[in-house]
Parts: sequence; C-alpha cells; structure tokens
Amino acid sequence: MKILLVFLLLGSATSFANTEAAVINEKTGKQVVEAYAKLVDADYTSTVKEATELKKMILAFVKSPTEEGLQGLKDQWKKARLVYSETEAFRFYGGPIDEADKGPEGLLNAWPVDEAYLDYVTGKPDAGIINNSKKFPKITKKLLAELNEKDGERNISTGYHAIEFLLWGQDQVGQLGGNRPLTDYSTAKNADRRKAALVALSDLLVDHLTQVQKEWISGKKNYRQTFEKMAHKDSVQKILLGLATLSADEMAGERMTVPLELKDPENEQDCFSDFTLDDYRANQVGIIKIYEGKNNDGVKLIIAEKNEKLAQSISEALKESLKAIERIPSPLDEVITGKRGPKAIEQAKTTVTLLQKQARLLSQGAKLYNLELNVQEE
Amino acid sequence: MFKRNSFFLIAGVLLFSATLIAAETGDPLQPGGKTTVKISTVNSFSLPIKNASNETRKRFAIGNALFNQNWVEAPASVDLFDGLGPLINAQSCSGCHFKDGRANPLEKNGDVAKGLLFRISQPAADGSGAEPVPAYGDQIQPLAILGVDPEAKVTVVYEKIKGRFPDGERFELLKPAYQFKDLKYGPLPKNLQVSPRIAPAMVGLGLLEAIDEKEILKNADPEDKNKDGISGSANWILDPIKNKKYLGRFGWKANQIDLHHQNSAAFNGDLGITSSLFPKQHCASVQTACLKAITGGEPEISDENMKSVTVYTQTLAVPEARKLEKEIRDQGEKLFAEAQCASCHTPSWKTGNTHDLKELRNQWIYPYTDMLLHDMGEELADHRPDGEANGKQWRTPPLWGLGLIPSVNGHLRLLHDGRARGIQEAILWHSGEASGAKKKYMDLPRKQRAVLIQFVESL
Repeated sequence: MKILLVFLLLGSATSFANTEAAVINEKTGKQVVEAYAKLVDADYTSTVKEATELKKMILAFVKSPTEEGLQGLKDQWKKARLVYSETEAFRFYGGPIDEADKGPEGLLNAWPVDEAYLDYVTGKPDAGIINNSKKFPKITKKLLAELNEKDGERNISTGYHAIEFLLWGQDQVGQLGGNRPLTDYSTAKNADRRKAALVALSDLLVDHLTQVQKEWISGKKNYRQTFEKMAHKDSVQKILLGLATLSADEMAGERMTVPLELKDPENEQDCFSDFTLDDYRANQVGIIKIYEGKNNDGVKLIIAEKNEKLAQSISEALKESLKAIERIPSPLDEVITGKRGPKAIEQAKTTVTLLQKQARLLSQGAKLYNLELNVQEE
Repeated sequence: MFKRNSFFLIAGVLLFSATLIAAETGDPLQPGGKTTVKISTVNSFSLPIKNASNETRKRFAIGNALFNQNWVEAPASVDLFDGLGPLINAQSCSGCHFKDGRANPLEKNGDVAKGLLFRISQPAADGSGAEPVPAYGDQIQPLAILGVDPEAKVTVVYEKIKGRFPDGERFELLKPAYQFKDLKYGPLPKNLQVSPRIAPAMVGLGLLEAIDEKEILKNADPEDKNKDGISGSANWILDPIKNKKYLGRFGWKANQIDLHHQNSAAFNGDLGITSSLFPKQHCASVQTACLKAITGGEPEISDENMKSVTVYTQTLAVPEARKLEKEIRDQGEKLFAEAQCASCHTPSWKTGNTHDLKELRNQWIYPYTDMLLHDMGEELADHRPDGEANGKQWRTPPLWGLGLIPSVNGHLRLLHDGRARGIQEAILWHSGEASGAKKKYMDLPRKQRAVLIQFVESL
C-alpha cells in the first residue's frame, strides 16, 4: 500500500514534466506542416515572380531612362516588396532564408541603409561605392554582395532597401519620401555606374529569392523534404517561432519602438519610399495567413486541439493588431516626428502593445506542447 | 509499522528535497538560466534575454539600433547621430562586433581588420607602469574623419610554429608580429608597449556583471597559497566619479568595472563620441586637426541613449547549449575537469541579488570563467601593465556560445588577438599558470582530445 503511494508520487512527478500530454496529434500535425510548406512555396514563388518583373523593367529603363519608366520601377518595387513582406514570418528559425552561413536574408532585407555607403547624399557628392571608381573600378554583382554589411550592420549595399534608395533617393526631413532626379540615370556624374548598380542589385535580388524558393519546392531533395520529415514538435516550433519573433522583436521592437523612441525618421524601415506602414500591414497579413491557413489548415488547428478558447483568442488578437496597424496615419515619419500629433503616436504605441500581446498568446499556445518561443510571459 | 511509515515519509521528503536541489543548481544546457534563448541561426548572438520585461525589451530595441548605427561626422542633417571622430577605429559598434559576435583579426594582404584594437603605452620614467604615448594616446586609431589624418595603419605577419603531440600528431600555430606604418604624428617611442585586443562576442555580459564581487574574490589566490599552481588575481580599477576602487570585470585584462564604463570608453576611444563619463575628445596634444574638429554636441551621446546601449549589452542572451550525446557530454565534462581547465574556466555561478535589471538576478549560469587574471606565460604576454594586471596576465574569457561563432561570424579565431584558428590552437597557446592543463590536454589520446573539443564547442 505504502509502496504504491510512493510510486504514485513518483508517477505524478513524471507526469508533471508533461511529456505525454504534449504530443501533437499525428494526423493534424501532418496536415498543418504540409499546408505550411505549400504556402511557403507559393509565397516565395510570388516574390521571385515580382522581383523578376522588376529586373526586366530595370533592364529596359537603363536603356532609355524616362520619368514614366522611373515611376513604373517604383510601382513595381512596391508590388515586389509587399509579397516579400508577407513571407517574413518564414524567418527566425534558421530555414533557407536565414540559415547560418548560407541564408540570404541579410543580403535581401537588411536595413536601415546608411545611404552614404552606397551613393551620394546631401553635402557629400562623392560619397558611396557608386562614386568611388578608384577603389571599385567596376560595379558587379560579386562586388556588391561582398560589400554588403562589410564594416557594420548599416553598411548595406544589396537587397530591397538598397534598390529602394537607388529609385527614390534620400528621404529629407519635411518631405514625403525621396526625390531622386531622373538625371541621376542620364546626365549626372556616374550615371552609368548607378545604372550598373541598379541592374546588378535587381539581378542579385532574383538570385537570392530563387535560392530560397528552390528549397521549398515539393518533391525535391531540399529543405522542404527535411522540414516535412522532422518530428512535428520541431516543425511546429519553427512555424510558431517565426510568427512570435516577427510580432515581438521585429515589428513591435525594431520597426516601431525604435523610430518612435529615437524620434528618428531614418530608422523607419522603408524611409525612402514612405512605404513602411504598407509593409507593416503585409507582415501582419502574412502572420494571419500562416496562423489560419489558406483552407483552415494553419497552425491554429494544433493549438485548438489542446485549447480551443486560446486558439480563438489568438485569431482575435491577430485581427485586432491588423486593425490597429491600419489606424496609424501614413506616412509613418510624420507620426515619428510628432507632426501628426500625440494621438497618432498613441496609436502607434497601442499597436506595439497589441503585437507584444499576440506574441505572448502564441507563446502560450506553444507551451501547450512544451515548445519554447523566447517570449516573455507577463 | 511505525518505522516503516517514517521510512516512506523520509523517502518522500528526500525525493522532494532532491527535486528542490536539482532546481537550485541550474541546468548546463540552459547556460544563461532563465535568460537563455533557444536559437542556432546567423542571429544566435542577437536576441534579447528570454525573461526581459517590456521595459527592458524597449531599451534593448533602442540600444540595438544605436549599436548598429553608423555615426556620422558633425554637423549632419540628423542631429541625433553626429559627432563621429575625429579619430576612430570604426563607424559603429557593429563595425567590430558584427552581429553582436566576434571579430576576425584579418582583413587581407596582411592588413589587420578594424575589429582588432591596439592599446599602446610607454613605461614611466622609472621604467614601471604604462603611460599614454604623448602624440598618440592609449590606442591606435587607424581611421579618421575627412581632414584629419588617421594615426597609423597596422599590418601583421604570421610566423608558423610547428609542434607535435606526444602521440606524434602534428600541429601548427600562427604567431603574429605587428607593424605600424604611415605614422602621421611622429615616430612611436622605442620602448612602446603594445597590446592587441580583438572585439569579443557580446552575449551574457549582463549576467557576468550580476555575479557578486565577493563571490568572485573567493577564488582569488594571488599568492597561490593553496599551491595548486593557479593564482587568480583581481584587477582593482578606480571609478573616477565615485573615487573608489572596484573589481575590474570586462575587457581582455579586466580593466573596466562595468558595462556602462566599458561602453562609454569604447564610444569615446573607438568612435570618437563623447558622453557624460568621457566628456573630452580622444585627441593627443599634437593632434591639432583632431582638437579643432567640430563637435556634435556636448556630450555627443545623451545619457538616455547611453543607458539604452548599456541595457542592450547587458541583455544580449546566451543561447542554449548545443546538444551532445550524453556519453560524449559526460566524458567531455570529466576531461575538462581532470585536465584542470575548470580551475580557471569556472563552470557555474549563481548571480547575485542586486543587479539593476531584476531579470539578471539569482540566475544559475554556466559561463566557464572565474572573472580573474591569470599569468598565461611568455608566448601570450603583451608586456603591458593595465591597472593591476601585469604584462603576462589576462582575464579568463567565458566559453559560452563559443561553438556558435562560426555560424554567426564565419570564423573561429580565438584568444585576445585572434591568432588561434580554433579551440585546439587556443589551448596549445596556454602557458604560465595553465601549463599543467595544457600538458594534460596534450597527453590525452587523440580521441579524447576530440571529445574535449566537442564539449567546449557545445557550451
């Protein structure tokens, strides 16, 4: 009898570790993981498509630069950027996009850009790689890729934001976005080198996105195969980690708190194009898409199996954050500098709180399966 | 019956207290205690501590931006970030601590990369100590803003040193010799003291700051009274504002008392940014262009922003240890202790109860350092006293996160000047107080040496 009691105690100590209770249902796990992989494939395929279109248009533009051509490039950059922003929750777990050593994330998406590293800025007409033909005689893909983040994390010479800067130009205080003159691509000093940089950058963009996309095509010996074969607790942890990290660290932290607190418009993500809030919204749209799933086969299913109420409240929190983002007045730099008044700043801060909350709820969902997302519980 | 009853009662109590003790000693796989994060990507050193409060996370995000910020020379259109230089080692913190990780000493063609800083000095008239070099100050700044001459360029030549293990396996080490060229402010003195120092990875620094001073001092044995061949001494550093000496903890020779001091000194010396602690530009008296350069405000970085940088450096999280097969891990841990590595690379600590950030208090941590100075022998000596550290002493560096440096920074160049190409070479450079430990490592069979290295990589 007494022996039994001790065993009971031991037994409850083991079940406290909660191993059995934390297993993901095999069938649901398979369904969710496969649907996720399909979504990643489709989304990266869109990024390749839009970036390829941008590259084609750039090749045509440099042959005969016109105002319409430049505007067309800006519009296409925005299209390409939006589909990329929807993929950002596929980061943060060392997958093809940000795998150690090989992942091209830094080459694609690094920001904020120190403009003077790449091209001229006000007061420094000879600044940047483009204007330094002595040190860099020829502008090539290889050169730009090597120089990216070479002497610090703001020394950015490739990716969406480098292209953005070459299209829009410097974002001056008191002006909406940048205003790069067309002559930068015709009569201005080093116009040919600037053209070469633009071509090389769009080429690199396609290369790097294709590199990631290939890893997610089905039926190949690639990351997708590994991902679909790994234990569901590992793949589901990655899916949730991407969602929570994008919400709390990236969106709430780097992309909103930092520019607000430093009151520095240069620290907003798409400062040259003043496209930050559209981008921000696309991040959240991407998060919702992953969580819910295209055919209700998102990671929500797995959380719902253990706690339906929590699964539902995450859905609601995600929608609430989206609404909050949509309520921030655009452009963000006028919010940051205070031009839009205290209410606009309050709205941005509310959004930060909601994004942190959504990360905490996702973390609670992960806890149901003893999964760790590096999120603080308040 | 009664006896039996009490037996089970005792068994139950024992079981219960065993659980409590287990919880009290921490988990080596969670080397940062509750601050530990789970990650192994290129961003492994860049996450905030797991248990960060919202306020800390806010500071962290701002500090991160400031850490990456390229400062520009004054005056500039964005007032917030001007004041760079005149003389500098880099434009941003991340210029040397890339991805919050460790610098690679080499540029190319023998040029030294900017992540390797050179402290310089000359002995006082009586031949003792270390005083700033009149025309250059206490560090070489190889870069400068427009219109000001950078101090010098540094190049390196490596001499190959060959050796053998007792079992016949060969090894080769690289011994660096540095040369200062293009000296723009006159010749350097003949009795110049030079101390190269590489930018280390930034994780877990706040936890090291949170260890109680008295706990660290318990291991100090400057006269080696216990006759184990290992002394361990403290570097006492004067806080000029409080006019009191504190234990030095940070820097390769433990010459900084805390991260606020370390960061303020680096902003001043390496970026040319003034702060409340260092209100003066880092210009020697003969450096006239340097002295005349326009400032970006007084001070150039506000107290508030400096605080954010400090919180950032306090809260970069230690990643979870890499999983090893239990057998390998146990064997590695045993070898690490038997070879006396653990005599200086103290495996674990419990942080104190007083740090400004409550998240860092009372954590069981596994940094593998005793935070003290040790004589590392002639081959590693810089012959440059620094505070109470002599020319042969270095502070035991922590080992946590070591195995992730290749993923983050693409290299594993170790020791204070990055001369070692991996863990084994770093061990082979150990001498002085660590001679015995090195010998024990060299005497191990090849397979066991590999296990020990695997263990260190996993920390």
